[in-house]
Amino acid sequence: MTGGLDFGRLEQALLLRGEPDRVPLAEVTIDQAIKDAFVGRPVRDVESEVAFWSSAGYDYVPVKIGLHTFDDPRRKRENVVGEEDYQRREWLDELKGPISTLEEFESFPWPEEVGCVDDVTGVSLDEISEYLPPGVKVIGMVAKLFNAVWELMGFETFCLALYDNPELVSRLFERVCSTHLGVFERMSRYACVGAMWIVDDIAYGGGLMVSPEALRRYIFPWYRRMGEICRERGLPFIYHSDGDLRGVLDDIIGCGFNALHPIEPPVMDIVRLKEAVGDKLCLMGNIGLDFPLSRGTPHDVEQEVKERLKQVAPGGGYCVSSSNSVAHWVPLENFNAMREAVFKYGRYPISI
Amino acid sequence: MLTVLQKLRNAVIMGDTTAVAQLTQQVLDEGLAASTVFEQGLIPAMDTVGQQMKANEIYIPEVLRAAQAMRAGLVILEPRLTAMDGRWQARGRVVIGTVSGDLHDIGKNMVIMMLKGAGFETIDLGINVPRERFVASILEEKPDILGLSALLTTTMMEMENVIEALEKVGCRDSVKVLVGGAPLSQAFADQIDADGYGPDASTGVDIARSWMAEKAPVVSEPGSGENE
Repeated sequence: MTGGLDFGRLEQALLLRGEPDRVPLAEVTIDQAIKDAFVGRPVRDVESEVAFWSSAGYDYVPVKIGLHTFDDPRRKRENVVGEEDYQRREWLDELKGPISTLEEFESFPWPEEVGCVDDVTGVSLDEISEYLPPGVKVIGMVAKLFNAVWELMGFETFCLALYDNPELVSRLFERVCSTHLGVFERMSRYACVGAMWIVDDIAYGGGLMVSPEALRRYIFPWYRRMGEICRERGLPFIYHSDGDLRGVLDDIIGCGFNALHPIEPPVMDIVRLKEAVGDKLCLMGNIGLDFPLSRGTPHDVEQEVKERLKQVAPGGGYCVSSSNSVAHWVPLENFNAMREAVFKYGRYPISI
Repeated sequence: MLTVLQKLRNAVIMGDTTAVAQLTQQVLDEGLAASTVFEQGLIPAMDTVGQQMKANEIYIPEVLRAAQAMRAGLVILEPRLTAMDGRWQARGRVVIGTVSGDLHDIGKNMVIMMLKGAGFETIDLGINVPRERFVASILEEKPDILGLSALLTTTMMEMENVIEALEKVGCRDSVKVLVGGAPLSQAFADQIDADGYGPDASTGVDIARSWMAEKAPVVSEPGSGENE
């Protein structure tokens, strides 16, 4: 690995402070199966979790909260495609969720204060500091604000309620987002936290899920409040959403985000994006999950990473990442090819 | 001054379910043929909705509301269309489902709504559909088009298995295969020998319509009609 671990490298990229020693690696999620295969044993505690991220070359360890905060077990359907835990896929009813009336809103078992404990790994911010190697920090991630609201209603019900029951929609955003704001603020106070990351899909390949006006009314004000917290604390503020975000880039910048992930191809052209907003946003991602990471060869992955480094990395403000996550169906050799290409070709100044 | 058909189209586009039901009944009471109301009222309205969505002028909620409004009119028209003794024909017949291992519903449902709005007959096999059921449905329903939906990189690979299963029983050439879903691409569709790829619901319907352009004569009720 080139350059050792240094959160300062990532921070420099995120805050657009020129070229660090090399391009950083970044991901929101790396599937448990990939971690286990990489480390060669189950990664099930804080020590092995930190060991994975550090030995894989990431300058941070993520602690993500929010994936299951508002889960209602009554609405889940499980589809088992294999015997391993990671193959048990949980599904939500897309049409109707547990809340479609004000009465159901009032009677929903809303969670008490949410702790700073990762939803999936169980890693707690209270315990992680002693395990972090020198130079490594935590990125606090808060997931599913907009997503949680429509999951609670079912997507179709939510869409129709934007017109038929705006009061319920407003109450849900207030309830969900105030809970998330609370945990966001608590996470941001930890000394080991070096940045904060919102993970909240508002778009898909075809465009925004709802109108920009609806996003400005219901969700961007909450992102802005979180952005203010980051600004006060000097923390880089990162945003993840899949899909085509071109219609709301100014809004995203206006919320105070320093960086944007995962720059989903083909709808988000990272080269054009760098030209358009590269002076305002660090770009993270664009290494295709489908191709080359899932269906390509290690050589395909290396070529894609080299191409992105050449096109986007000069001047800083770029981190290599998948275009979504490193899912369990990504061959380990492809995940390694992505990392190794960064170590081999990502040293500044880029000369490819 | 807008005609009643123009008002009906506007009501569909605006997602006004109540107005669509009222106006549909009004034009029928005034003597307009059900097929004309469908072809010159509801279908062009959903065409406009599709174009507006492609142009990012409206989004999924507005499309769903328009589809809901369209259904309110279709519910009134369908008995009359059915009563035409087969003289009115759907633009085409589409069997559609989400492939095995995938439980995503809403993308497929949007395509179905827009196909209906374009005059197609749709047979929804649902979600998590085994390849054998797709094959059985092709043999039984003899559709013009098979629509396959998937939303995960893993499950989209099942589409290739479905196409191979059609080839094995010798019915591949009897149907056009249209694929769609977030992780798909034209390159993937070409790789698995699908006939078409719809990056969005509206484009999928355009492709279906282009395939049927030479196949689907639509017969109106004799006599009354309004051309605008």
